[in-house]
Amino acid sequence: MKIGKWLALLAITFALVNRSVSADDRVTRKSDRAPIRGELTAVTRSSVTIKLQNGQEEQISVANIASIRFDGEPPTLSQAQSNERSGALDVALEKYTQIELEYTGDDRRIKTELSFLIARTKVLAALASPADREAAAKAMGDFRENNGSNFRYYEATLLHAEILAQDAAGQAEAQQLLQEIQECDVTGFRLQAGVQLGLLLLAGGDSQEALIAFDKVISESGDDPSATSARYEGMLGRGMCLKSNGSTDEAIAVAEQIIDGASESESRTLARAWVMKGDCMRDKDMPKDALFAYLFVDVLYPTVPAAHAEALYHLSNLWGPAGYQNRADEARATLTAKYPNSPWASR
Amino acid sequence: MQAGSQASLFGGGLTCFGRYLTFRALFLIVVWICGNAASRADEPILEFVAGLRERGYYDSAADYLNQVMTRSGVDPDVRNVLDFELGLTLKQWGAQSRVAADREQRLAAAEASLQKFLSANATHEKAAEASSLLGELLFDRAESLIWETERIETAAERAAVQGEARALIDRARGIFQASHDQYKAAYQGFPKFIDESKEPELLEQRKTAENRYLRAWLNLARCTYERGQTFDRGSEERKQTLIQASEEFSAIHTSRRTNSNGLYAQLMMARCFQEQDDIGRALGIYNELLKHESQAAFMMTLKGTAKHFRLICLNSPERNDSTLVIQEATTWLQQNRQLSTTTFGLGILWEQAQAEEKASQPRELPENERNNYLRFAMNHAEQVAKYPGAFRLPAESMVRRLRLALGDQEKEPKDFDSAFERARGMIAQIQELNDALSEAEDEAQRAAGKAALDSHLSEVGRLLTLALSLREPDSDPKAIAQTRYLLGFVRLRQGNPLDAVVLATYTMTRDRAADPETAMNATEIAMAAAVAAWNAAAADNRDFETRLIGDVCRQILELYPQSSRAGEARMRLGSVYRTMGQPQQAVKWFLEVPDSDPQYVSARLSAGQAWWAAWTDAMAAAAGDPENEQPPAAELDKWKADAQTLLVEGVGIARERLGDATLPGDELVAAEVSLAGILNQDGKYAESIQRLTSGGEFSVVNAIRVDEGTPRPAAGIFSRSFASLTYRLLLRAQVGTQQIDEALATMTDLEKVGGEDIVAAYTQLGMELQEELKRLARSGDTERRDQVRTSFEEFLRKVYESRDASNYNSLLWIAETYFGLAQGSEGDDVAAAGYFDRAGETYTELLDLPEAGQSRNAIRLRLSRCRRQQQRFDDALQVVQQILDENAMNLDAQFEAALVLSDWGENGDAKRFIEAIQGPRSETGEATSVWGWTALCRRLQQIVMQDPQSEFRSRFYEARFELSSSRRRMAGVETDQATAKKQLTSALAEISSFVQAYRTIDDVAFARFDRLYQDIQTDLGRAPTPLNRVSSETAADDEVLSDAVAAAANPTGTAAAETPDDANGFLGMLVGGVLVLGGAAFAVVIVVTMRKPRKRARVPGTPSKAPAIDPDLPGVAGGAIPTGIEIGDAPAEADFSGLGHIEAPGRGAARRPPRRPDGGSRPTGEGRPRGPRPPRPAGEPGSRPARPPGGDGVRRRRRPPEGPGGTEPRSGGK
Repeated sequence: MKIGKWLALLAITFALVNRSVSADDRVTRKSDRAPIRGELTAVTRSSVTIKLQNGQEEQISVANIASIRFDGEPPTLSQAQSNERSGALDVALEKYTQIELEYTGDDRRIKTELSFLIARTKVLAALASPADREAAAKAMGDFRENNGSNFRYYEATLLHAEILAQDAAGQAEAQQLLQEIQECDVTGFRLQAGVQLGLLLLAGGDSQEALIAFDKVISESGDDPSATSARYEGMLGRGMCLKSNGSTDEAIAVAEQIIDGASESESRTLARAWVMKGDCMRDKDMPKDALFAYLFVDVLYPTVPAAHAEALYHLSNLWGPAGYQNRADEARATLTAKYPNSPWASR
Repeated sequence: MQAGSQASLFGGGLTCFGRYLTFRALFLIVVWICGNAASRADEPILEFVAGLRERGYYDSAADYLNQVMTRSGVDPDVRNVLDFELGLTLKQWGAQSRVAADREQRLAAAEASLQKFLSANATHEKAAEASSLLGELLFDRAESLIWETERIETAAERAAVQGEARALIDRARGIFQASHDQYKAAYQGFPKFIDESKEPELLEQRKTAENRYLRAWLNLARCTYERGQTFDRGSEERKQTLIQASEEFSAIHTSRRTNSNGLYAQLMMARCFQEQDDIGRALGIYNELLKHESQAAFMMTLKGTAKHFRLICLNSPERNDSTLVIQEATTWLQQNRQLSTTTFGLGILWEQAQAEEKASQPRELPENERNNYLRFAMNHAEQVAKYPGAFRLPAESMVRRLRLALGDQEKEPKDFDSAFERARGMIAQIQELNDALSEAEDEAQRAAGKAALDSHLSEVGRLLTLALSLREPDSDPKAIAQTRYLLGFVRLRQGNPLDAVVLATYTMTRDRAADPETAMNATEIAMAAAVAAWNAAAADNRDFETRLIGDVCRQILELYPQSSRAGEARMRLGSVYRTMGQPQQAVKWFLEVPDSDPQYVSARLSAGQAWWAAWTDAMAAAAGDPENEQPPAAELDKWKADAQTLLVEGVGIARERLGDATLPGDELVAAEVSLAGILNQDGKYAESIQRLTSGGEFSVVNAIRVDEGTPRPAAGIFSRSFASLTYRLLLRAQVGTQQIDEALATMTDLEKVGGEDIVAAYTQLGMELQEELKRLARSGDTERRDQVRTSFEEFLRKVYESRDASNYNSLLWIAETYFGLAQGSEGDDVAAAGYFDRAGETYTELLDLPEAGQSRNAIRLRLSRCRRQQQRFDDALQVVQQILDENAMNLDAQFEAALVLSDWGENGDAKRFIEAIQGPRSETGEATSVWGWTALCRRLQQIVMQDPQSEFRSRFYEARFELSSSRRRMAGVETDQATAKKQLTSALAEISSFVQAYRTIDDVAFARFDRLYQDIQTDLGRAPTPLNRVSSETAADDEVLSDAVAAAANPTGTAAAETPDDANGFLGMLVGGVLVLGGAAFAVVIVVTMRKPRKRARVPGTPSKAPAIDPDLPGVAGGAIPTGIEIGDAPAEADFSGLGHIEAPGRGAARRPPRRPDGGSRPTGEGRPRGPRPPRPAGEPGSRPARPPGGDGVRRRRRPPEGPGGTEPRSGGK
């Protein structure tokens, strides 16, 4: 028996050692889209550390993580993530939930990641569906509460703040969360929080202060590659301020800067920049130019639900006068079918 | 609701920042701030609410009304109708809502508001309207419930909902009955006979009352019909109710056979027969309705519905003619794309899907055919299922069923690669389907071929879109670039050019690093799509598209400055600026094409044509409106000189390249003709003749010849219009050099070109002479003018003397030329009178010839005009009266008659002005066949109201101008100051209200009204102020509404009637009137030339539409059409001067008639398919999608180009 116990222990030890040697975690960096394979050895709010197969360790800032795949994660998880990326949020949510139910492994990282992905999908869907905001905010709040040291924590906090800010009642809490992020040591997220605070100010009608907040983000982002997203979002906020102050032409110029400069991966910012351009064109009484701007969102960024719903709404109003009533009807049908709970669908 | 709005304004989502701060939101903030303030007395509450409703801001309108209700100090008259307004707003909001719960909630709230209004204001003047609204609202709700019963399977549940619907209908019936009785009594209270000329307002009131009465009657019959729908199919109750409904509809139709209500009743009567399974009778009525020729909106809806019902009949088990259903539905949907998402459009598509499913069922059908039918059916059902309505559920069910039937082969791709591969594999088939379509031998084959192509494109587009949505961060960027590129191509082929521009511009800018070849190829799609968008846009609303072409070209220049595309982009930019009336900019771009570019010669010629077109446009503008500001004479001279220099240079290089023994191509011929025009202008007739005739068999005049009996194409250098222009220039030059024999030979050529239209050519020649004389007079060159007159007089005398007495054509030419001389002799009354006299005498002589035939009335019109100019008004009126006695609907004769009376009034008999305005009366006081300006305006207004795009719109403007002008002229001769002032004041009011109502009036017409307006103010002793022009932005929406305003302000009481039938009838007769003349083209041409003012008088020698003969990217003809794709549907040339039919250079074969036996070496290109070729996807099946540049990439070479631009295939292709 004694020998048997020792043998069993040996076998377990061997298995663990072997696992650690062949662990196949994968992190893809945002900055160069390079996938790095190895074993995740440390995870904090600010970074993850991955031990490469040559024994070297590399620390990656959370702001520079494009995606993570854990060794042994269910293969259907990547399909669900693909659905999420393509804007099929309902399908993605269904798959995540199914995977969570069916997962029998003991890797806690995967379970945590699943709960984050579910919460994130709910938040993204709720941005175009006010009725689902409360549930989405709760899911993200729960994740944050239970995973304070997870590498997703800052991202979760920003998403939580974003969904809370959709309703006037949640704006104070959103502000608190954003201030928390503004004190963190990850530049990209810190600046992103600055963007969202600016948006809050703008929503409150304080476009001057909002403009200051956005300009601060833009100047602080400098040439930091991990702050690129925040920089373009800051520019977008700046454009919104200009538009709200009546400086329509300047706002259009900002939108065009974003459109020319932002990379394809910034699809959300790009979509919103086109929407802003369309809005400006409507303000200038240039309906065909507005239609064309919204059409970019419909054709190129249908995976960004809130912007797409808004663009479809405007297209449904603009196609008709341009002589294409069938396309107006089509836009309206897509809007009501794809985003039935969006405020734009009930307009 | 209020709170919601505020939340959305001030506490809205972060993702929506800024968008609320639109004009509308700002306005609402103002409303909110003022919310509790007392209403200002002058606040236009009801107008504001109507404006919000009109723009679809129902929520804001309802918020605003709710706020006004809480205010103090609101005018009691306004306060009384607030509930009515709220009910109306909520009803419209509910009807527009797509969410069932919202819809029901708003309709219920609307009902409550209307009930509240009625209970408090039972005798209010709006009570009847409120009742009608209430009835319609109940009716709408009942219809929704009836729809719902279709989904309910258990009889008990269905019966409950049916009962609920029936109760609503019965309540509606009660309301409609009350309205019916009230409106009927009101209508019957009017006298049976009302003299339109004496009591036009009373007549209008009666028509309004009649329409209301008929509408209520129709609603009663609809109640009966819909009540029938609340019983199960096959039940006795349903049958009996349908019989009763058909009798009620029949009674309405019998009572009013041509009125819109009567026609609708006829349609519903057929529907009742159909539901009683009397298919034959129903089909008879549908067919009758479908034969209506009217294109008015109401009739299009009625005919669309009739078509839908007809297809249901054909799909019924009794007929079961699925082939016919597919054919008819396909044709209808192709011809009515804009109506495809209407209820009846979706119904037609749904019938097609059902027919296709049926057509797949025969066992003996080959499998591929069966699958094709099933796939078509599935695509169409998917399309139908996108839209809410009665067909959605069954369509969704069909999609599920057919997916199953099609099995694994239709399995949806799950990743980017498989979606892309499948789409890529289908690209080649686009060309096959396109070829099949171009080879179709009849309409049915064409429709079927088009349907197959559309369906295929739709599926390819769907797969490519799916591929893009499935792409992963690690997907091959080259493949992604090609997906976008191919999708751009498909969207272009589907007729969605703006989508194609989005995709192609994205590819050409963003995908350069990933796939430079595809990015480069995308420039072609981008440019072609921008041009297609330009061509598709309304001619008067192309600013955006023009800028779009410019933007795309500039992007290409920026990205690929050294490529051949850059040359093409520069050419297009030149065209864009030429269109925008900026010849300097146009020329700048043309001249930037480097001499190494294959399009260099074309660029020089285009630059020359641009200056020449600018010069002729300026001349035409001066002729049309001499008071308009013109560029300085020196600048105009420079334009002409530069045009000549550039054309001579371009022609020289082209001739050198071409050699002496080759027929010149389109572009060269066009340039030579323009040069001949310039030389004629300068009096260098001999050089002009040289340009056109030198080279013998390779001369310009020979280049435009076609074989005897060969029909000339509509456009290009072989077209009748171009050939006619060339011969007219030659003839003009021969008259200038007094070459009588040669000129007579040219006249023979001209007659051959003209065919039946020879008279048109002579009329045109006369007009050109007239413009030439006027231009010389304007420039002060009296010596040249006298020379021209003398040479023509001399020439005419010789022709008259040498003519065959029975030669109708010669006589006609003489008459037209004298007429042109007379018209061109303004300011020289003696000479003009002499010419008019000779023209008149010749016209009289012509009338005696049997050849006058169908042209008789047109000649009479000309004669009348001569007599009017000679101030022989009585004779003039007699002549034109002869036409009107035969057909009072001859619009041009009516204009001429009114002009005769106006001129007569000004020249001796002031009372004729009254007749000009109101139309003369007979001795017994009855109206005659001459209408006068007032009736002309009213009738034309009816047409324009029905069809804002009507070709009669400009005539309507003209009649309105003449009406006001006649008042002013009348005031000028009136001795009674009070009467004169009254006329002037009326004219001012007319003009002001007119331009308010018709905001899309063009600049030239507006300028005329403005000048008249200011002149009248001066006459009244006031300081003239410019006429206020309202923005045309909302004109389309506003015009019908504003018409009421205009009518109210119109002292003649010519309010637009609510009688589409009358207007239709008038239009029909009017067109008929023109067509009677139209048998002879002469009539049409004369009719056109009789119209004043001619906005676009042309200068002889220029292409009236320069690019029509100036293919404009002629280098392209030499091979610059980008490789791989032929953009047939989207002409590569944006025809900026208005000839949309010009094809892309290089595709000239399509418009070229069969070659002459004598050959020549002009390139032909016959046999090239016209449709755009699809790009070849990169790579071979199974391989990775992308290929390195220069390989067998996405696109293949076009066939080697031919012609002067070079014959080498372009590099980069295989």
